[in-house]
Amino acid sequence: MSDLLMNPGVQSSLIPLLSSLAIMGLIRRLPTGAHQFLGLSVLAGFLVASYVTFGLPVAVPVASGQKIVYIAIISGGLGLVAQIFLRSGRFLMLTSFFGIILSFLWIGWKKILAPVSIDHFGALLILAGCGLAAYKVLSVRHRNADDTNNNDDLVVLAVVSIAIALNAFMGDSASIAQNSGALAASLGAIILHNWIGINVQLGPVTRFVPLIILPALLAQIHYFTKANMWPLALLLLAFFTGNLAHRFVPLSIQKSRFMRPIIIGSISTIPAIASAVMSWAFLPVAASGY
Amino acid sequence: MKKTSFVPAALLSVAMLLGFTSFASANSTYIIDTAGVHYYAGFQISHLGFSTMHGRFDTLSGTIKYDDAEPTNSQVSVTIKASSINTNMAKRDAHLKSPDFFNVEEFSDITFVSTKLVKMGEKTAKMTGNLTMMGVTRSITLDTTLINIGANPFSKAPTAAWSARGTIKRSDFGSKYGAPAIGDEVTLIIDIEALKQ
Repeated sequence: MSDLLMNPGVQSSLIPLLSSLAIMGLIRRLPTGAHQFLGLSVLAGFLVASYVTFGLPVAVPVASGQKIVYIAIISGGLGLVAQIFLRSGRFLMLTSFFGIILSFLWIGWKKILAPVSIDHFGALLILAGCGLAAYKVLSVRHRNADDTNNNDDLVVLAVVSIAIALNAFMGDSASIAQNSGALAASLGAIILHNWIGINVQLGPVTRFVPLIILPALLAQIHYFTKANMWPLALLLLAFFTGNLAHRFVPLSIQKSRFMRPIIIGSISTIPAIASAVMSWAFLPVAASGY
Repeated sequence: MKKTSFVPAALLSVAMLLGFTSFASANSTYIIDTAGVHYYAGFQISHLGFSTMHGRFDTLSGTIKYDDAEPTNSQVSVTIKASSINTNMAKRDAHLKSPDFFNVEEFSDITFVSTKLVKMGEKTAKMTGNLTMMGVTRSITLDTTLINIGANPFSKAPTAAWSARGTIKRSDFGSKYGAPAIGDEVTLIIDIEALKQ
Protein backbone atom coordinates (compact mmCIF):
# COMPACT_ATOMS: atom_id res chain seq x y z
CA MET A 1 0.00 0.00 0.00
CA SER A 2 2.76 2.44 0.95
CA ASP A 3 4.52 1.58 -2.33
CA LEU A 4 1.35 2.59 -4.16
CA LEU A 5 1.13 5.88 -2.24
CA MET A 6 4.75 6.62 -3.11
CA ASN A 7 4.19 6.13 -6.83
CA PRO A 8 4.33 9.62 -8.43
CA GLY A 9 1.70 8.63 -11.02
CA VAL A 10 -0.72 7.55 -8.30
CA GLN A 11 0.08 10.61 -6.17
CA SER A 12 -0.89 12.97 -8.95
CA SER A 13 -3.84 11.12 -10.47
CA LEU A 14 -5.70 8.52 -8.41
CA ILE A 15 -5.20 10.16 -5.02
CA PRO A 16 -6.55 13.61 -5.99
CA LEU A 17 -9.31 12.06 -8.12
CA LEU A 18 -10.55 9.77 -5.34
CA SER A 19 -10.12 12.43 -2.64
CA SER A 20 -12.10 14.90 -4.71
CA LEU A 21 -14.83 12.33 -5.36
CA ALA A 22 -14.96 11.46 -1.65
CA ILE A 23 -15.39 15.10 -0.63
CA MET A 24 -18.11 15.51 -3.26
CA GLY A 25 -19.84 12.46 -1.83
CA LEU A 26 -19.72 14.04 1.63
CA ILE A 27 -21.07 17.38 0.41
CA ARG A 28 -23.84 15.61 -1.51
CA ARG A 29 -25.01 14.11 1.80
CA LEU A 30 -25.47 17.60 3.23
CA PRO A 31 -28.69 19.61 2.68
CA THR A 32 -29.23 20.85 -0.90
CA GLY A 33 -28.10 24.38 -0.02
CA ALA A 34 -24.58 23.06 0.58
CA HIS A 35 -24.31 21.56 -2.92
CA GLN A 36 -23.15 24.89 -4.32
CA PHE A 37 -19.89 24.19 -2.46
CA LEU A 38 -19.15 21.00 -4.41
CA GLY A 39 -16.32 22.93 -6.05
CA LEU A 40 -14.40 22.73 -2.76
CA SER A 41 -13.63 19.15 -3.77
CA VAL A 42 -11.13 20.52 -6.33
CA LEU A 43 -9.22 22.23 -3.53
CA ALA A 44 -9.47 19.14 -1.31
CA GLY A 45 -8.14 16.80 -4.01
CA PHE A 46 -5.24 19.12 -4.73
CA LEU A 47 -4.30 19.52 -1.05
CA VAL A 48 -4.50 15.79 -0.27
CA ALA A 49 -2.24 15.03 -3.25
CA SER A 50 0.19 17.72 -2.12
CA TYR A 51 0.26 16.30 1.42
CA VAL A 52 0.85 12.74 0.22
CA THR A 53 3.61 13.89 -2.15
CA PHE A 54 5.41 16.60 -0.18
CA GLY A 55 4.14 16.36 3.39
CA LEU A 56 2.87 19.29 5.39
CA PRO A 57 4.03 22.69 4.15
CA VAL A 58 6.35 24.70 6.37
CA ALA A 59 4.82 27.52 8.42
CA VAL A 60 6.77 30.22 6.64
CA PRO A 61 7.16 29.21 3.01
CA VAL A 62 10.39 30.28 1.40
CA ALA A 63 10.35 28.18 -1.74
CA SER A 64 7.86 28.49 -4.59
CA GLY A 65 6.78 24.85 -4.19
CA GLN A 66 5.64 25.55 -0.64
CA LYS A 67 3.87 28.76 -1.65
CA ILE A 68 1.66 26.86 -4.11
CA VAL A 69 -0.13 25.14 -1.21
CA TYR A 70 -0.91 28.47 0.44
CA ILE A 71 -2.03 29.95 -2.87
CA ALA A 72 -4.45 27.03 -3.27
CA ILE A 73 -5.88 27.55 0.22
CA ILE A 74 -6.21 31.34 -0.28
CA SER A 75 -7.89 30.86 -3.66
CA GLY A 76 -10.39 28.48 -2.05
CA GLY A 77 -11.06 31.03 0.70
CA LEU A 78 -11.53 33.80 -1.85
CA GLY A 79 -13.88 31.60 -3.86
CA LEU A 80 -15.93 30.83 -0.77
CA VAL A 81 -16.22 34.50 0.22
CA ALA A 82 -17.22 35.36 -3.34
CA GLN A 83 -19.73 32.52 -3.43
CA ILE A 84 -21.39 33.38 -0.13
CA PHE A 85 -21.31 37.16 -0.08
CA LEU A 86 -20.40 38.73 -3.38
CA ARG A 87 -21.58 37.17 -6.59
CA SER A 88 -21.51 40.19 -8.84
CA GLY A 89 -19.70 39.50 -12.11
CA ARG A 90 -17.50 42.57 -11.79
CA PHE A 91 -16.33 41.62 -8.30
CA LEU A 92 -15.53 38.06 -9.36
CA MET A 93 -13.56 39.30 -12.34
CA LEU A 94 -11.58 41.87 -10.33
CA THR A 95 -10.86 39.42 -7.51
CA SER A 96 -9.64 36.77 -9.92
CA PHE A 97 -7.40 39.28 -11.74
CA PHE A 98 -5.87 40.34 -8.42
CA GLY A 99 -5.51 36.71 -7.38
CA ILE A 100 -3.78 35.81 -10.64
CA ILE A 101 -1.36 38.74 -10.49
CA LEU A 102 -0.56 38.29 -6.81
CA SER A 103 0.03 34.54 -7.06
CA PHE A 104 2.32 35.10 -10.08
CA LEU A 105 4.21 37.88 -8.25
CA TRP A 106 4.57 35.91 -5.02
CA ILE A 107 6.11 32.96 -6.85
CA GLY A 108 8.39 34.92 -9.14
CA TRP A 109 9.23 38.14 -7.26
CA LYS A 110 12.95 37.39 -6.98
CA LYS A 111 13.18 37.04 -10.75
CA ILE A 112 10.80 39.88 -11.44
CA LEU A 113 13.14 42.24 -9.54
CA ALA A 114 16.08 41.09 -11.68
CA PRO A 115 17.32 43.27 -14.57
CA VAL A 116 14.94 43.41 -17.51
CA SER A 117 15.27 40.45 -19.84
CA ILE A 118 13.23 38.38 -22.26
CA ASP A 119 11.92 36.54 -19.16
CA HIS A 120 9.92 39.65 -18.26
CA PHE A 121 8.29 39.67 -21.66
CA GLY A 122 7.41 36.00 -21.25
CA ALA A 123 5.96 36.70 -17.82
CA LEU A 124 3.77 39.49 -19.20
CA LEU A 125 2.61 37.23 -22.01
CA ILE A 126 1.69 34.46 -19.60
CA LEU A 127 -0.02 36.87 -17.19
CA ALA A 128 -2.03 38.41 -20.02
CA GLY A 129 -3.03 34.91 -21.15
CA CYS A 130 -4.11 33.96 -17.62
CA GLY A 131 -6.11 37.19 -17.33
CA LEU A 132 -7.88 36.52 -20.61
CA ALA A 133 -8.53 32.95 -19.53
CA ALA A 134 -10.06 34.21 -16.27
CA TYR A 135 -12.22 36.66 -18.23
CA LYS A 136 -13.37 33.82 -20.45
CA VAL A 137 -14.07 31.44 -17.59
CA LEU A 138 -15.82 33.93 -15.32
CA SER A 139 -17.72 35.84 -17.97
CA VAL A 140 -21.38 34.87 -17.94
CA ARG A 141 -21.94 36.03 -21.50
CA HIS A 142 -20.76 32.81 -23.07
CA ARG A 143 -22.92 30.52 -20.96
CA ASN A 144 -26.02 28.73 -22.20
CA ALA A 145 -29.18 29.23 -20.26
CA ASP A 146 -29.71 25.46 -19.97
CA ASP A 147 -26.25 24.85 -18.46
CA THR A 148 -25.17 22.36 -21.14
CA ASN A 149 -21.81 24.11 -21.16
CA ASN A 150 -21.41 23.95 -17.39
CA ASN A 151 -18.45 21.62 -17.77
CA ASP A 152 -16.68 23.45 -20.62
CA ASP A 153 -14.37 25.57 -18.49
CA LEU A 154 -13.44 22.71 -16.22
CA VAL A 155 -12.62 20.46 -19.18
CA VAL A 156 -10.38 23.16 -20.65
CA LEU A 157 -8.77 23.87 -17.26
CA ALA A 158 -8.06 20.15 -16.84
CA VAL A 159 -6.56 19.85 -20.34
CA VAL A 160 -4.41 22.94 -19.70
CA SER A 161 -3.28 21.50 -16.35
CA ILE A 162 -2.22 18.26 -18.02
CA ALA A 163 -0.31 20.22 -20.67
CA ILE A 164 1.37 22.29 -17.94
CA ALA A 165 2.40 19.01 -16.32
CA LEU A 166 3.98 17.89 -19.62
CA ASN A 167 5.78 21.23 -19.98
CA ALA A 168 7.03 21.03 -16.39
CA PHE A 169 8.22 17.49 -16.94
CA MET A 170 10.21 18.59 -19.96
CA GLY A 171 11.55 21.51 -17.93
CA ASP A 172 12.96 18.86 -15.57
CA SER A 173 10.58 19.44 -12.68
CA ALA A 174 8.55 16.42 -11.65
CA SER A 175 7.17 18.20 -8.57
CA ILE A 176 5.52 20.95 -10.65
CA ALA A 177 4.30 18.26 -13.05
CA GLN A 178 2.78 16.36 -10.13
CA ASN A 179 1.04 19.47 -8.78
CA SER A 180 -0.37 20.23 -12.24
CA GLY A 181 -1.44 16.61 -12.66
CA ALA A 182 -3.13 16.68 -9.25
CA LEU A 183 -5.06 19.80 -10.24
CA ALA A 184 -6.20 18.12 -13.46
CA ALA A 185 -7.28 14.98 -11.59
CA SER A 186 -9.18 17.00 -8.98
CA LEU A 187 -10.98 18.84 -11.76
CA GLY A 188 -11.57 15.45 -13.41
CA ALA A 189 -13.65 14.35 -10.44
CA ILE A 190 -16.10 17.23 -10.75
CA ILE A 191 -16.15 16.85 -14.56
CA LEU A 192 -17.10 13.19 -14.12
CA HIS A 193 -19.76 14.16 -11.59
CA ASN A 194 -21.30 16.68 -13.97
CA TRP A 195 -20.94 14.39 -16.96
CA ILE A 196 -22.52 11.21 -15.69
CA GLY A 197 -24.18 12.43 -12.50
CA ILE A 198 -26.26 15.44 -11.68
CA ASN A 199 -25.26 18.59 -13.52
CA VAL A 200 -24.74 21.10 -10.71
CA GLN A 201 -24.34 24.83 -11.13
CA LEU A 202 -20.68 25.57 -10.49
CA GLY A 203 -20.01 28.47 -8.18
CA PRO A 204 -16.97 30.78 -8.03
CA VAL A 205 -15.09 28.47 -5.67
CA THR A 206 -14.85 25.81 -8.42
CA ARG A 207 -13.33 28.27 -10.87
CA PHE A 208 -11.20 30.38 -8.51
CA VAL A 209 -9.04 27.49 -7.30
CA PRO A 210 -7.73 26.36 -10.70
CA LEU A 211 -7.69 29.90 -12.14
CA ILE A 212 -5.39 31.16 -9.36
CA ILE A 213 -3.22 28.03 -9.02
CA LEU A 214 -2.48 27.89 -12.77
CA PRO A 215 -0.56 31.22 -12.95
CA ALA A 216 1.43 30.17 -9.88
CA LEU A 217 2.41 26.90 -11.57
CA LEU A 218 3.17 28.76 -14.81
CA ALA A 219 5.37 31.27 -12.93
CA GLN A 220 7.23 28.38 -11.30
CA ILE A 221 7.85 26.71 -14.66
CA HIS A 222 8.72 29.98 -16.39
CA TYR A 223 11.19 31.24 -13.82
CA PHE A 224 12.64 28.17 -12.17
CA THR A 225 12.85 25.45 -14.83
CA LYS A 226 14.40 25.10 -18.24
CA ALA A 227 11.00 25.12 -19.96
CA ASN A 228 10.63 27.60 -22.81
CA MET A 229 8.09 30.45 -22.45
CA TRP A 230 6.56 30.21 -25.94
CA PRO A 231 4.91 26.80 -25.47
CA LEU A 232 3.43 28.08 -22.19
CA ALA A 233 1.95 31.12 -23.92
CA LEU A 234 0.64 28.95 -26.78
CA LEU A 235 -1.04 26.66 -24.27
CA LEU A 236 -3.34 29.41 -23.03
CA LEU A 237 -5.01 29.50 -26.46
CA ALA A 238 -6.84 26.38 -25.26
CA PHE A 239 -9.23 28.64 -23.35
CA PHE A 240 -10.55 30.02 -26.61
CA THR A 241 -11.12 26.73 -28.39
CA GLY A 242 -14.69 26.69 -27.11
CA ASN A 243 -15.38 29.47 -29.61
CA LEU A 244 -14.27 27.13 -32.40
CA ALA A 245 -16.69 24.52 -31.14
CA HIS A 246 -19.53 27.03 -31.23
CA ARG A 247 -18.68 27.92 -34.82
CA PHE A 248 -17.93 24.55 -36.38
CA VAL A 249 -19.64 21.84 -34.33
CA PRO A 250 -23.29 21.08 -35.19
CA LEU A 251 -25.73 22.50 -32.65
CA SER A 252 -27.22 19.06 -31.92
CA ILE A 253 -23.81 17.84 -30.68
CA GLN A 254 -23.21 21.06 -28.78
CA LYS A 255 -26.51 20.50 -27.00
CA SER A 256 -25.64 16.92 -26.06
CA ARG A 257 -24.50 16.78 -22.44
CA PHE A 258 -22.59 13.57 -23.19
CA MET A 259 -20.82 14.70 -26.38
CA ARG A 260 -20.12 18.31 -25.53
CA PRO A 261 -17.26 17.75 -23.00
CA ILE A 262 -15.66 15.29 -25.41
CA ILE A 263 -15.77 17.80 -28.26
CA ILE A 264 -14.53 20.71 -26.10
CA GLY A 265 -11.82 18.49 -24.60
CA SER A 266 -10.69 17.27 -28.01
CA ILE A 267 -10.48 20.78 -29.49
CA SER A 268 -8.65 22.22 -26.50
CA THR A 269 -6.19 19.36 -26.71
CA ILE A 270 -4.90 20.77 -30.03
CA PRO A 271 -3.05 23.77 -28.52
CA ALA A 272 -2.16 21.62 -25.52
CA ILE A 273 -0.44 19.03 -27.71
CA ALA A 274 1.14 21.76 -29.83
CA SER A 275 2.52 23.31 -26.65
CA ALA A 276 3.97 20.00 -25.43
CA VAL A 277 5.54 19.26 -28.84
CA MET A 278 6.99 22.78 -29.00
CA SER A 279 8.36 22.40 -25.47
CA TRP A 280 9.96 19.09 -26.46
CA ALA A 281 11.50 20.72 -29.54
CA PHE A 282 13.04 23.45 -27.34
CA LEU A 283 14.55 20.96 -24.89
CA PRO A 284 18.13 21.96 -24.10
CA VAL A 285 19.20 18.41 -23.25
CA ALA A 286 18.04 15.19 -24.88
CA ALA A 287 15.18 13.78 -22.82
CA SER A 288 15.85 10.47 -21.23
CA GLY A 289 15.22 8.79 -17.92
CA TYR A 290 18.01 7.98 -15.56
CA MET B 1 56.73 61.50 45.51
CA LYS B 2 56.82 62.44 41.89
CA LYS B 3 53.44 62.29 40.26
CA THR B 4 53.21 60.43 36.95
CA SER B 5 51.85 62.66 34.22
CA PHE B 6 48.42 61.48 33.09
CA VAL B 7 48.97 61.84 29.32
CA PRO B 8 52.10 59.68 28.92
CA ALA B 9 50.57 57.03 31.20
CA ALA B 10 47.42 56.91 29.11
CA LEU B 11 49.40 56.66 25.89
CA LEU B 12 51.47 53.85 27.38
CA SER B 13 48.31 52.01 28.41
CA VAL B 14 46.79 52.32 24.93
CA ALA B 15 50.03 51.14 23.35
CA MET B 16 50.19 48.12 25.69
CA LEU B 17 46.56 47.33 25.04
CA LEU B 18 47.04 47.46 21.25
CA GLY B 19 50.12 45.27 21.52
CA PHE B 20 48.33 42.76 23.68
CA THR B 21 45.33 42.60 21.41
CA SER B 22 47.49 42.06 18.39
CA PHE B 23 49.40 39.29 20.16
CA ALA B 24 46.31 37.61 21.60
CA SER B 25 44.26 37.40 18.39
CA ALA B 26 47.05 36.16 16.09
CA ASN B 27 44.39 35.69 13.41
CA SER B 28 45.43 34.52 9.97
CA THR B 29 43.02 34.77 7.08
CA TYR B 30 43.08 31.91 4.63
CA ILE B 31 41.21 31.97 1.32
CA ILE B 32 40.20 28.70 -0.34
CA ASP B 33 42.47 28.05 -3.33
CA THR B 34 39.89 28.45 -6.07
CA ALA B 35 42.48 29.32 -8.74
CA GLY B 36 44.15 25.97 -8.32
CA VAL B 37 40.80 24.22 -7.67
CA HIS B 38 42.27 22.61 -4.59
CA TYR B 39 38.93 21.82 -3.05
CA TYR B 40 36.18 19.26 -3.16
CA ALA B 41 32.60 19.57 -1.94
CA GLY B 42 30.84 16.29 -2.43
CA PHE B 43 27.80 14.45 -1.21
CA GLN B 44 26.49 10.91 -1.02
CA ILE B 45 22.85 9.85 -1.03
CA SER B 46 20.98 6.58 -1.27
CA HIS B 47 19.46 5.90 -4.69
CA LEU B 48 16.20 3.97 -4.27
CA GLY B 49 17.78 1.91 -1.51
CA PHE B 50 20.24 0.33 -3.93
CA SER B 51 23.41 2.20 -4.77
CA THR B 52 24.99 5.20 -3.11
CA MET B 53 24.91 8.13 -5.49
CA HIS B 54 27.94 10.40 -5.44
CA GLY B 55 27.89 14.01 -6.56
CA ARG B 56 29.85 17.18 -6.10
CA PHE B 57 29.67 20.95 -6.44
CA ASP B 58 32.28 22.33 -8.80
CA THR B 59 32.25 25.97 -7.68
CA LEU B 60 32.80 27.20 -4.17
CA SER B 61 34.64 29.94 -2.34
CA GLY B 62 35.37 30.70 1.26
CA THR B 63 37.45 32.15 4.02
CA ILE B 64 38.94 30.69 7.17
CA LYS B 65 39.94 33.11 9.92
CA TYR B 66 42.37 30.87 11.71
CA ASP B 67 43.42 31.69 15.23
CA ASP B 68 46.91 30.25 15.63
CA ALA B 69 46.93 30.71 19.39
CA GLU B 70 43.47 29.31 20.04
CA PRO B 71 42.16 27.37 17.04
CA THR B 72 38.71 26.99 18.60
CA ASN B 73 38.26 30.74 18.04
CA SER B 74 38.66 30.25 14.30
CA GLN B 75 35.80 31.09 11.95
CA VAL B 76 34.84 29.48 8.68
CA SER B 77 32.63 30.84 5.92
CA VAL B 78 31.97 28.90 2.70
CA THR B 79 29.68 29.64 -0.25
CA ILE B 80 28.83 26.94 -2.78
CA LYS B 81 27.20 27.67 -6.14
CA ALA B 82 24.24 25.30 -6.21
CA SER B 83 24.13 25.41 -10.01
CA SER B 84 27.61 23.85 -10.15
CA ILE B 85 26.23 20.47 -9.09
CA ASN B 86 27.81 17.64 -11.03
CA THR B 87 26.81 14.00 -10.89
CA ASN B 88 28.43 13.09 -14.17
CA MET B 89 25.10 13.03 -16.03
CA ALA B 90 23.66 16.18 -17.62
CA LYS B 91 20.02 15.09 -17.47
CA ARG B 92 20.21 14.18 -13.79
CA ASP B 93 22.07 17.41 -13.02
CA ALA B 94 19.30 19.39 -14.74
CA HIS B 95 16.74 17.60 -12.57
CA LEU B 96 18.78 18.23 -9.41
CA LYS B 97 18.89 21.95 -10.29
CA SER B 98 15.09 22.08 -10.70
CA PRO B 99 12.56 22.98 -7.97
CA ASP B 100 12.35 19.25 -7.15
CA PHE B 101 15.71 19.45 -5.41
CA PHE B 102 18.16 22.38 -5.19
CA ASN B 103 15.90 24.89 -6.96
CA VAL B 104 18.97 26.80 -8.17
CA GLU B 105 17.09 29.52 -10.04
CA GLU B 106 15.36 30.50 -6.82
CA PHE B 107 18.24 29.80 -4.40
CA SER B 108 21.58 30.14 -6.13
CA ASP B 109 23.91 29.78 -3.13
CA ILE B 110 24.47 27.24 -0.40
CA THR B 111 26.30 28.85 2.52
CA PHE B 112 27.93 27.65 5.71
CA VAL B 113 29.06 29.95 8.50
CA SER B 114 30.65 28.41 11.58
CA THR B 115 29.43 29.39 15.02
CA LYS B 116 31.35 27.13 17.38
CA LEU B 117 34.40 24.89 17.37
CA VAL B 118 35.01 22.25 20.01
CA LYS B 119 38.45 20.67 20.06
CA MET B 120 38.33 16.87 20.11
CA GLY B 121 41.92 15.76 19.48
CA GLU B 122 45.19 17.40 18.52
CA LYS B 123 44.03 18.01 14.95
CA THR B 124 40.33 17.27 15.11
CA ALA B 125 37.33 19.32 16.16
CA LYS B 126 33.55 19.40 16.00
CA MET B 127 32.51 22.43 14.03
CA THR B 128 28.96 23.70 14.47
CA GLY B 129 27.60 26.26 12.05
CA ASN B 130 24.62 27.53 10.12
CA LEU B 131 24.02 25.82 6.80
CA THR B 132 21.65 27.71 4.51
CA MET B 133 20.25 25.70 1.66
CA MET B 134 17.14 26.41 -0.42
CA GLY B 135 16.47 29.45 1.76
CA VAL B 136 16.34 27.44 4.99
CA THR B 137 19.00 27.83 7.69
CA ARG B 138 19.73 24.97 10.08
CA SER B 139 22.52 24.41 12.57
CA ILE B 140 24.67 21.41 11.66
CA THR B 141 27.81 19.88 13.11
CA LEU B 142 30.72 18.63 11.04
CA ASP B 143 33.72 16.54 12.08
CA THR B 144 36.75 18.51 10.96
CA THR B 145 40.40 17.60 10.71
CA LEU B 146 43.34 19.90 10.17
CA ILE B 147 45.33 18.03 7.52
CA ASN B 148 48.39 20.26 7.36
CA ILE B 149 49.48 23.83 7.89
CA GLY B 150 52.77 25.28 6.71
CA ALA B 151 54.63 26.39 3.61
CA ASN B 152 53.72 24.93 0.22
CA PRO B 153 56.85 22.94 -0.80
CA PHE B 154 56.79 24.43 -4.31
CA SER B 155 55.44 27.98 -4.05
CA LYS B 156 56.53 28.43 -0.41
CA ALA B 157 53.17 30.19 0.15
CA PRO B 158 51.70 29.66 3.65
CA THR B 159 49.01 27.07 3.12
CA ALA B 160 46.57 25.09 5.25
CA ALA B 161 44.21 22.23 4.51
CA TRP B 162 41.18 20.89 6.32
CA SER B 163 38.61 18.20 5.75
CA ALA B 164 35.05 18.13 7.06
CA ARG B 165 32.53 15.30 7.16
CA GLY B 166 28.94 15.30 8.31
CA THR B 167 25.40 14.12 7.73
CA ILE B 168 22.27 16.19 7.22
CA LYS B 169 18.63 15.45 6.44
CA ARG B 170 17.57 17.20 3.26
CA SER B 171 13.97 17.27 4.48
CA ASP B 172 15.14 19.66 7.23
CA PHE B 173 15.81 22.11 4.40
CA GLY B 174 12.44 21.60 2.75
CA SER B 175 13.69 19.15 0.11
CA LYS B 176 11.21 16.31 0.39
CA TYR B 177 10.81 15.31 -3.23
CA GLY B 178 11.26 11.58 -3.87
CA ALA B 179 12.02 10.81 -0.20
CA PRO B 180 12.49 8.25 1.19
CA ALA B 181 13.12 6.35 -2.09
CA ILE B 182 15.79 8.92 -2.84
CA GLY B 183 17.44 9.10 0.56
CA ASP B 184 16.62 11.77 3.08
CA GLU B 185 20.02 11.47 4.73
CA VAL B 186 22.88 13.11 2.85
CA THR B 187 26.56 12.66 3.70
CA LEU B 188 28.69 15.74 3.14
CA ILE B 189 32.38 15.55 2.27
CA ILE B 190 34.36 18.76 2.11
CA ASP B 191 38.12 18.98 1.55
CA ILE B 192 39.80 22.35 1.13
CA GLU B 193 43.22 23.81 0.70
CA ALA B 194 43.53 27.51 1.53
CA LEU B 195 46.18 30.15 1.05
CA LYS B 196 47.18 32.60 3.75
CA GLN B 197 46.55 36.23 2.81
